[in-house]
Amino acid sequence: MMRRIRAWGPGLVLILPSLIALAVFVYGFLGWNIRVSLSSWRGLAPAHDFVGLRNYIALFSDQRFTEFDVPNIAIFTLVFVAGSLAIGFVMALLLDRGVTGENAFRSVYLFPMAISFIATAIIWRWLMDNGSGESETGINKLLAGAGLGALHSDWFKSGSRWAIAAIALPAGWSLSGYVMSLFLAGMRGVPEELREAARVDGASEPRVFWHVVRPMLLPVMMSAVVILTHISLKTFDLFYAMDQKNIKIDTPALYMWFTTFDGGFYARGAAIATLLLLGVATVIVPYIWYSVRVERRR
Amino acid sequence: MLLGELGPDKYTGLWTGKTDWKSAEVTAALDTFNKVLAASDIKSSAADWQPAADRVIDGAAVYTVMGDWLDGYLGRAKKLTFKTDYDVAASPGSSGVYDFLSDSFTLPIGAKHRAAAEKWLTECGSVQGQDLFNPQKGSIPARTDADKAKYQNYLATALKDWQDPATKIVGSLTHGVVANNAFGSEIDTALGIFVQKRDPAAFGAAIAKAYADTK
Repeated sequence: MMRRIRAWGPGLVLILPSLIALAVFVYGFLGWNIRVSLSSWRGLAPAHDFVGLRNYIALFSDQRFTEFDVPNIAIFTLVFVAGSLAIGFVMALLLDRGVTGENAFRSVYLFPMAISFIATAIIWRWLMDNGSGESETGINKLLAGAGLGALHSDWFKSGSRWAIAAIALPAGWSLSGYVMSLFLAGMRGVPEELREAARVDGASEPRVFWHVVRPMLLPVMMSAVVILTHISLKTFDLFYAMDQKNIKIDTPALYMWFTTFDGGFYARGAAIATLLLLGVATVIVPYIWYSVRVERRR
Repeated sequence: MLLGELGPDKYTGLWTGKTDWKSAEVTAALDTFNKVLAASDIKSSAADWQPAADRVIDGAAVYTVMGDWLDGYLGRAKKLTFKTDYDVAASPGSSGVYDFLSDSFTLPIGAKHRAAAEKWLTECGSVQGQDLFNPQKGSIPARTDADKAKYQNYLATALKDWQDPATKIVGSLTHGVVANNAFGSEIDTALGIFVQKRDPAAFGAAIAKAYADTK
């Protein structure tokens, strides 16, 4: 018994502070949030009653939530994740060919991630301004200057159902460099011997990539999808700083914040937060299950 | 729009439960609002009031419906002259009505420096404090003994309207005078949906429900 404690005791003591912090600040508050979502708490004074799933049921007939927030976040996630993956992948592919100054390119593409979403949003709000004539600025002015004035867009202020997809542009600008570095690390992880073996067998470069490198990038791609999707679902600051209270770019995260802290609907806000957590869980839980299974096989 | 179309008494009734949000008059007023929206830049419906005022300054927009503080922006920040560079008019149907809001400081129970806070509040409320603050911000004092000479140009007309016994006073929704935070935020949501969907009946029904739920 003593020997056993000596074996894992020091390790436990080392991780204990973060374990306690995690238990309180992550799982404790998670539980508290779910508890609040089952109460009728509205206004500054907490209510500790129990109303079952009433707040959740109300959300499913809440026009803002069902007709705007959920479709909006689905469109945003789709465009943002697919776009960042594609751009990050292409950039990794180009850098993997062995460009001069690779380090410089890698840093330049990664830098946008270091800028907070608030700052990114303030720059891109100007870049994607929809003014015309004398007040035309940003991307629209650039397009007009290049003789492509016909491409003038209202971006996130567009009347289209897809207006929120414009926000995937700054989000993708922020994170595609990160996806690039993930893919690049994955490509570098493929042993050169494997490629050479394929070449000796007479495979062309595209075929080497398709049959040797691509299958080995699958785990990288999985983690990239999981990271991007959960960032997408919980993004708040980017939309908030871009055009707050524009319902065309409203998402569950924004609705949660406004209804809780402007309106004092604490129980409803907690219900939205719990649904967001479930949304993130549907992406992350299968991923964890998959990685645990892969690790066991080894 | 509701104030102009319904008149001050029925408008005030919207907040006290006496005017039915689902009534024919409210729906008709919202139909008129729809016509105004058709001539507005609703793509920027979530924009702040200053960029909207800038468009009027640039000559890209004809007018903007805004409060007294716009005078502070135009007269002080933008150095424009009342009557020569800009002018005002009561929005349709609101002549003789003052839609008011007030800036307030709260003194919390158990404030640590109660004496100092009370001194600050006394200063703010004094004739001198009012006359220092208001002309800078673009607002008028509630006190009747303030120095009228300090309120020039537009503010002189606003002060005259405010002190006119015939003026009817109603409260501003945007600034929380007539609706509590919960009701106000539900109205924000319904208005955002209305600007997209343009359905007066659905808007009226949503507000009526929100009023009942947040009373």
